[in-house]
Amino acid sequence: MRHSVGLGLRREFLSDVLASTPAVDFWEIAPENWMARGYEAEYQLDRIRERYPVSSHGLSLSIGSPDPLDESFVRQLKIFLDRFNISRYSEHLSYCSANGHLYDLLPIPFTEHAADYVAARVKRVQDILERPVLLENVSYYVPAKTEITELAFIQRVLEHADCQLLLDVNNVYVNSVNHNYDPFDFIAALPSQRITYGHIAGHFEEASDLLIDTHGADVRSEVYELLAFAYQQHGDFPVLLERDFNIPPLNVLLKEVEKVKAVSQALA
Amino acid sequence: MDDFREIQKQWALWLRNPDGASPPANVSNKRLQVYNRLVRNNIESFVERGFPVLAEVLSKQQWQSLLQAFIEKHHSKSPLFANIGDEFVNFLETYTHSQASAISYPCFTYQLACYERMEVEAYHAQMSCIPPMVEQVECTPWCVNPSLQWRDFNYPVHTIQPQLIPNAPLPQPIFIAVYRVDCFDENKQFSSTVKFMQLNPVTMLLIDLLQRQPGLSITDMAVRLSEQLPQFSVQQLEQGLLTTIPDLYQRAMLFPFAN
Repeated sequence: MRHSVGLGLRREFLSDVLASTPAVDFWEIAPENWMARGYEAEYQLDRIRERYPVSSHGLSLSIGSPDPLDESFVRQLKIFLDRFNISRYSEHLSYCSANGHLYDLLPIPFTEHAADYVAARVKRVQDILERPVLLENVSYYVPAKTEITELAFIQRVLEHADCQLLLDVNNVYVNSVNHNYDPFDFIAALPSQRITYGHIAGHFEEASDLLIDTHGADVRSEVYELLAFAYQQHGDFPVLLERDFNIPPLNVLLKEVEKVKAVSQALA
Repeated sequence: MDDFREIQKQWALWLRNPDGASPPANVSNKRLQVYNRLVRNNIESFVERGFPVLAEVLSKQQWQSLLQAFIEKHHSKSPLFANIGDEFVNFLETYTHSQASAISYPCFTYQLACYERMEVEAYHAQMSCIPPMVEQVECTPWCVNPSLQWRDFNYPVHTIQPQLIPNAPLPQPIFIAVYRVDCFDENKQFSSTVKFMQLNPVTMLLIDLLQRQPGLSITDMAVRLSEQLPQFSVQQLEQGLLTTIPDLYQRAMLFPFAN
């Protein structure tokens, strides 16, 4: 079985990708970094799209925001995704605006009300986009409220919105250290049938009990172990390697993509 | 209002103004500070990259207090990171003119920010800006390069640097156009350059006319301009345009108009 492993597309190495067309199963882009970015961005994305499948991973939908859902943005997003024929759209189970944008991912309070509120907004987004929305379990450094557990919160949103999960194994690892829980138990408890996509990345150890989800370092061996465990528990799903800071040359990243691929092949 | 949304609003209030607002209750301060740092660093890095000259000519204290005020007082509507700079300019327009701040900022702050933003906007213009070929200058209908923006400035924003800081407005405003020129280089790679051009008032009128009414020929333009410039005859204007238009076309500010 051929396991699909993609790489986050960055402008830092975009021209290398166009020049050398390396063997990568798919690329992932953040629509917010490509929308309204001018003719050159569209031109480059067209060239990528001619040669590769592309997934999208949103940053600013702010699905859990106390502000009203920005439906005009969601409609622009649909035009963008249609224009580049991108079917997979994922976002963070998080929010980044409250009385205006703050441009960073904040933890939604883990309450039943909040979960239901988010689920209703996810349905609305799916209706406008005419695509499924995959929600990513996010990393967080302190919970805003724990009326229910993080796990129960995620499960409730997925069920009520009837949507899929983007399982970010690095985020599970980061959270397990930051909030002192067992990452294997956490992954085992997630609903297999909803896991259709995965993310893996590196993090930064700020203190022994505080990891920061920087996407700025190589993937740690503990996180590879979690990915292997997730495959065992839930079966195969495409995985994407994210790297957003301290970006090494493309050939170095491609070696890491191979390492991710080896995790799934070892289990096959 | 649901309880969870109150919590979120408290978080946002505190993140916008950690020194003034009370922090969310029952949350570890050490961990909250991580969010404070992440939010601030992210917004600051976007603004700093978008306004390098302004960041350089303001004192560190002025720059930091401006960023803090932006985060605290401005409610950004755009979800796109590329528009954070636009949000910053919108914020400056009212903030630097108000008396809300204890710190004063140079009188050119807003206009310099507008100027720096125009460069980014030119890059972000959605249309291709590859100059098409022109056969005959005289009978071609013309339009303005679709990325071109212009603005009048009361300060010489294009020359401002730490050693060259204006302390008073210019006696006459100046007009500056910013626009992008695209091409395919010898390796068939797409490349873009943003150009800046100070325009005289008559050229400014011409650009403004063509932006409002694309597709005019040189004769049409001479007739229309003479309404605004009665001191010149249509013939004089037409003669002038026969040199000006090819020059503006050479600079890729004007393109032949295609319907």
